[in-house]
Amino acid sequence: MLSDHVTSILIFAGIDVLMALSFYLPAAAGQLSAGQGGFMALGAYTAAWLSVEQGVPFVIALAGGGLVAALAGLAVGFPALRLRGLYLILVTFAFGEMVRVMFLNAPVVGAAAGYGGIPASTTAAHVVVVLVLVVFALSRIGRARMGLAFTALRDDETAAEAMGVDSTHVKLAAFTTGGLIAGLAGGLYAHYTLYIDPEAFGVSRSLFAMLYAVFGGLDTLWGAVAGAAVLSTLPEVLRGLKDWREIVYGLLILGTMLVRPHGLLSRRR
Amino acid sequence: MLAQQLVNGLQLGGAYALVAVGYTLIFGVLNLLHLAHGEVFMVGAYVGLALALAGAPFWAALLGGMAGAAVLGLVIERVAFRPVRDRGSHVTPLMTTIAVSLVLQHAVVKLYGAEPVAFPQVFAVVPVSLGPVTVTSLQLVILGTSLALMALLDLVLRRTWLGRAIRATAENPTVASLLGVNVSLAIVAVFVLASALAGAAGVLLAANFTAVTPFFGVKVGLKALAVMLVGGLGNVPGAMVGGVLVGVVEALSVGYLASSYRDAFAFGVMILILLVRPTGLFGARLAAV
Amino acid sequence: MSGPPARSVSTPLLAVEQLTKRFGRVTALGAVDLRVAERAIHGVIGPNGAGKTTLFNVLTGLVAPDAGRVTLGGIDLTRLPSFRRTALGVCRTFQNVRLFGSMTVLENVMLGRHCRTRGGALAPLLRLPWRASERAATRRDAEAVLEFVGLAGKAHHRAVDLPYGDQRRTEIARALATEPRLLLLDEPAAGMNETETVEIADLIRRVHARDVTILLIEHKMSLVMGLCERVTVLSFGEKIAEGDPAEIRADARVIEAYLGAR
Repeated sequence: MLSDHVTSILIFAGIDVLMALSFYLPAAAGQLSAGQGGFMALGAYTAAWLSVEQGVPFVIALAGGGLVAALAGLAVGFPALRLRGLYLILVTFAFGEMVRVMFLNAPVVGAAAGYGGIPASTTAAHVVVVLVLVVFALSRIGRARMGLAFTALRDDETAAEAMGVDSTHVKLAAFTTGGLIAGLAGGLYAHYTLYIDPEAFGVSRSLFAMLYAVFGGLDTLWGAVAGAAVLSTLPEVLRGLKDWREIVYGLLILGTMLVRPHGLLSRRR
Repeated sequence: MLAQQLVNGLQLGGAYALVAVGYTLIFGVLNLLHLAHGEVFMVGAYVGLALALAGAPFWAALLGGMAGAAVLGLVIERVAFRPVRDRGSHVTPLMTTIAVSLVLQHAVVKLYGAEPVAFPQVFAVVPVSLGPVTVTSLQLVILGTSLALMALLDLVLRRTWLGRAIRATAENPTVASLLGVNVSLAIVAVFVLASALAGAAGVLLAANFTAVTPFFGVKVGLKALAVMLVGGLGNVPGAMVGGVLVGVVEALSVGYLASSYRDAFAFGVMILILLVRPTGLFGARLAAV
Repeated sequence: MSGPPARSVSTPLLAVEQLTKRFGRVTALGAVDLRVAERAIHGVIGPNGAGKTTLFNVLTGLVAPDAGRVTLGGIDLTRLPSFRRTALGVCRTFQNVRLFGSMTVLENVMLGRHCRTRGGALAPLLRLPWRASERAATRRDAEAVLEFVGLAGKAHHRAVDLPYGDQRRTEIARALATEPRLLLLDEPAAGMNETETVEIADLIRRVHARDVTILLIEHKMSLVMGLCERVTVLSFGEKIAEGDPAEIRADARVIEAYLGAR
């Protein structure tokens, strides 16, 4: 059996991979989001509340968190239809901050003090199962009709529309699914840490989801998987460096992005 | 009471504006978000702190903070922007600057520790009565310095050849270079100017809050981002007015809203502005300075 | 008393009425009327800035008109979004080729099948048997179109890496994959040499022979006069002449518009 330490690293890495995928999905349709942490927060708080206050089985709690985050994704998708590029990044960032501040002021779930007493339901097996399902689903979608429409939208939105792609539909689907994945990640996270507070889902959570995916390369979903897996476990590898660790970590990311600006797994250079 | 809050807001807003002006300059010229700009601000504050601890007068700490930040801005342009300017996707510079901000935060942790460091009282803070309101001499210095620096920046952008080069580059780098503008130089100048202003804001706010931490830049950086949005991306006067506006609104809401709601309010306003008027309250573009 | 069959009696496939579009103070289209007969090859010519591409953009829904109406076979398109018009049978190519940069030639054409196939994000997960074969069918259809335009050998090249002429062919193939009733070609021979121009004319004829109505913007007069049975001339957003190639060549206003534009 794996030691607790290794298990914990694997679980957090798995959750990070899910977050990277939740960023990748809208990004594959050209929609860059800096607010995935907000969806994760919604999933985590909803799932935790369902477990703690309603006593529902873990799977239901997880699904409930995913559902709420998916609906939030849909809701964010609508205003996002009007915005592009950095403006979209800024709006989604503002959304993430709104969510964080909302939970900071929600006494039902502990407000700034955080929300505890969540049952310890998440195991490594759960994370693996969710991850495998998500990756399997995304890779199938990626090769099918919708996958091509995502890519078309990312490459040239006007041409995609003119060739018959309903960009509204595709963008909403992308944001909703991205929200769903982040919500699932949040539910898994809450039932592993057993205590959550709004700061865990702030800007840095959102930016790291983006960083993982871009670091791995946005060409395929495997880029997001690889990027998150590498960057999530790298701090463990660098443990021996003690207080130089974060500095070296940052320098390694910087160096890699300079050598491979399109990401680790990208075919482009 | 209201007038008092107004003064507090003005002084806070002036410092926000200094950081936001840098964001918006860089955005206007390069169409990029500089996510380590908050850390440039923070490093400026620490340089000022180091000088003040060494017994330097306040003006020297301020100039030192500006110089330190300017040098840092130059280095960041070299290592994190220039190499990916024409390569990679348009999120690549976002990632390189996140990496830089990580490195800077933890480098400062290494040097000064993660705990807040008290900023020495650099001069005797005396209350000054101005009619119905009382301000401290420090508040006056902060407000005065912010206004002076922004006026100076405005002058540089409007009246000098360097300013013209920067504005031309913001308008269209290709055309600018065809017309003989040294685009690379303009970009470097933008980083130096933006960083120096952030450094000044760092020292001013550190003196105001009386302490600094290595993560001091994160919150202020986010706030400056909001200010840039309110003022219009790439719009320098917009960022100046927007900074003051956000500062005043923040100070005024102290009396009426719980502090944790204040941020929600600010971000709500930010989303609304982006949706209703994506170019900000005062329109986008730097070229039209 | 039976005269020759009058063209104007047959209902047109495309009817444009009083179409108007202004950009600020510039009138790109000033109350333009246009009728394109079913199975015609109809040319649109005019000096630069005459409003030709704006016409295409309004017809395909990329730009909303200020006034006027567009109908296709009696269906009002005026307020429909771009992708719905494609589903109803209007598709186009772009003057400055707009292929999907990260896709292969085949994938570009497969994307054209989007509006003729079904299956959202959930479909591939449900694994319904007829879904499983859909991708294969899409691929076969796309390959057939590539064969038709003569690009079968280049299916797996990245589209944007192809020579210019092949990129234009890919765009035509992608548009054909949507099964258009009306195909709008925006300067298909721009930047091509004489041999390539002859080849593209041949391709347009073969597309036409498949019962596709064609509306063609082109600057190369030889191509327009050789292909089109009817030609409309725009100048500064106004329709100044319409007729068969011989009539257009003889029209004094057309000659003036072209000479005046110099």
